[in-house]
Amino acid sequence: MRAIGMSVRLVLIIGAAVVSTGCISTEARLLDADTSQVQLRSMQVRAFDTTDRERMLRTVVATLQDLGFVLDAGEVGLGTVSGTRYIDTSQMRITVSVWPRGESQLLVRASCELRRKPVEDPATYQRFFTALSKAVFLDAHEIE
Amino acid sequence: MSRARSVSAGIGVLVLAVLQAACVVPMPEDAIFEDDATQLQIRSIQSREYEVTDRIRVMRAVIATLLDLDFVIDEADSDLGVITATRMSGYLLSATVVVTEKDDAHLQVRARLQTGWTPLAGTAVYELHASNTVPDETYREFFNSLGKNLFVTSLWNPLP
Amino acid sequence: MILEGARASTERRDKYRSQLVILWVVLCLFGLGGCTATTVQPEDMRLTPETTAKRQSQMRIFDTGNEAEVLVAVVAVLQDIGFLIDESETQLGVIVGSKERSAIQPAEVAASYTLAIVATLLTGEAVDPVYAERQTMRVSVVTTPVEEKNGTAVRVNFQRLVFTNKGNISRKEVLGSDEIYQEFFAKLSKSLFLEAHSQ
Repeated sequence: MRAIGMSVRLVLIIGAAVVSTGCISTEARLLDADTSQVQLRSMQVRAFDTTDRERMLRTVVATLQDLGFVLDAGEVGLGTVSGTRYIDTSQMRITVSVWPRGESQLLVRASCELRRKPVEDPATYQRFFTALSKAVFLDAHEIE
Repeated sequence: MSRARSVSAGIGVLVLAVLQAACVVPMPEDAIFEDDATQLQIRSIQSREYEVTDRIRVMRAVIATLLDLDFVIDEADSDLGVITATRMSGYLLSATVVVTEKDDAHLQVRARLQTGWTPLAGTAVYELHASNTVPDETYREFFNSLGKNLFVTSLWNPLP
Repeated sequence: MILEGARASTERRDKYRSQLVILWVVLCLFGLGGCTATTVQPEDMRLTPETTAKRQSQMRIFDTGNEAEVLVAVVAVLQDIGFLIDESETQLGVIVGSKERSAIQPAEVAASYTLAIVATLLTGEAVDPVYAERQTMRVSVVTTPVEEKNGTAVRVNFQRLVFTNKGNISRKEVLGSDEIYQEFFAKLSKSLFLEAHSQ
C-alpha cells in the first residue's frame, strides 16, 4: 500500500515537472515556427553559378534517380521534383526545387524526411549536393 | 465502505482502459461485382451532366467546391480529368471526381465518396472503424454545391 | 497497540484509494479515447455562409496574371515551412504537400503514463500508456486566374491526421486560423514581391 502511494506521488511529481514545461502549439508546428529556420536553411540550400534552370532540374532528376529515388511528383516547368526511396523498411522522401537567385545564380533547396521524421542531419544533405555538384560540373556554394 | 470505493475505482479504471484500447472491427469488403440495375442506379446518383464544353473550367469548379467543403486535394490530373481529395473533420472521407466528355456539348462529372480511408503520400491510411456507406443525399448536396460554383459568374459573388 | 496500528494503516489505505479515484477522474478529462463514431452527413457537403467566410479567410488575390510564377513562389513557401511536395498540376493550379511531425505534448504523455501505472496497479494487469505521438500535416494550395482583376487568386487549406504511439489515428481535423493564413500569405507576398489582397 505504501508502495502504491509512493509511486503515485513520484509519478505526480514527475508529471508536474513535465507539465510545467508547457505545450508546443500545433500552429507553431504547422509553420515550422518551432525549429531554427536559419540552421535548416543552411543545410538544405545551395547556390550554383548558372542560370539554366531547366538543365539544373533535369540534372537533379538524374541525380535523384542515381541515388535510388523513384520520382513521384513535380514538373520541370514548376522547377520542383519529389521522390521516394526505400531501403528495406526505411522510407526516405525528398523534394528538390530550383529557383533563380539574382542575375547569375540558381538556388537549389532539398527537403528530406526519413522514416517519417524530418532529416536534420547536415551530412545527408551534403551527400545529395556533392552528387548534384559532380553531375552538373559546378560548385555548390553554401549560402550565409 | 472502502471496499465499495476501491471496487468502483477499479471499475472506473477498467472502463477507461477499455476505451483506450484499440477497437478491432473487421473491415467490410466492397461488393466487387454488382448487377447492372444497381450500377445504373448508382451512376445516376453519383454523376451529373452539364451543358459545358470547357473541361478545365469544370475541373477548377470541382476543386473550388472541394476546398469550400474542407477537403484537401490529394491528386489532380488535367489530362485524365481526375481529382482526388480527402476530408478530415472527425472522420475520413475520400472523394474521387472524374470529368469526362459525354458528347460534343456535354461534360459528365462522376463523384465517388468513401469513408474510412485516405491515400497519404503513396500509402493508404485506414480508420479502424471503417464505416458506412455514404448516403445518397450526400451526393445530391455535393452536386448542388458544385452547380453553384460552376455557374456563379465570378468568384466574388457571395454564395447564398 | 497492534489493533491501533492496523486501523491507522487502513485509514491510510483509504486515503490513497480516494486520491487515486480523484486522480483518475482528472485524467479522464484528457480524453484519451479510442474509437470515433462520427460519419459523413449530407449537410457536410452543403455551401453555407460559413463556407463563404472561410473562403475569404483562406484566399488572397495577387496583382499578377502570371499563374505559373505564383505557383513557383507557392512551392518556395511550402518548402520553407517544411512541407514536401506530393503533387502538382500546373494546368489546374494545384500544389499538394505534406509533412510528418512529432505530435508529442509532454503534459499528455505524463498524464497517460500516470494513468497507465495507476490502472496497472489497481487491476493487476499491464495497461499500456496511449498518447499522441506523430502527425501528418497536409496542405493544398490552389491558384485561380481572376481575369476581371488581371490577378491570380491563391487559396490554402490545411488538415492533419494524428497517430498514437500504438499506430492508431486519434485525430482527424482541419487546421488553420486567420493568423495562420495571414502568416502564410505574408510569406507568399514576400516571395513574390507583391501585395496580397483580400478580395
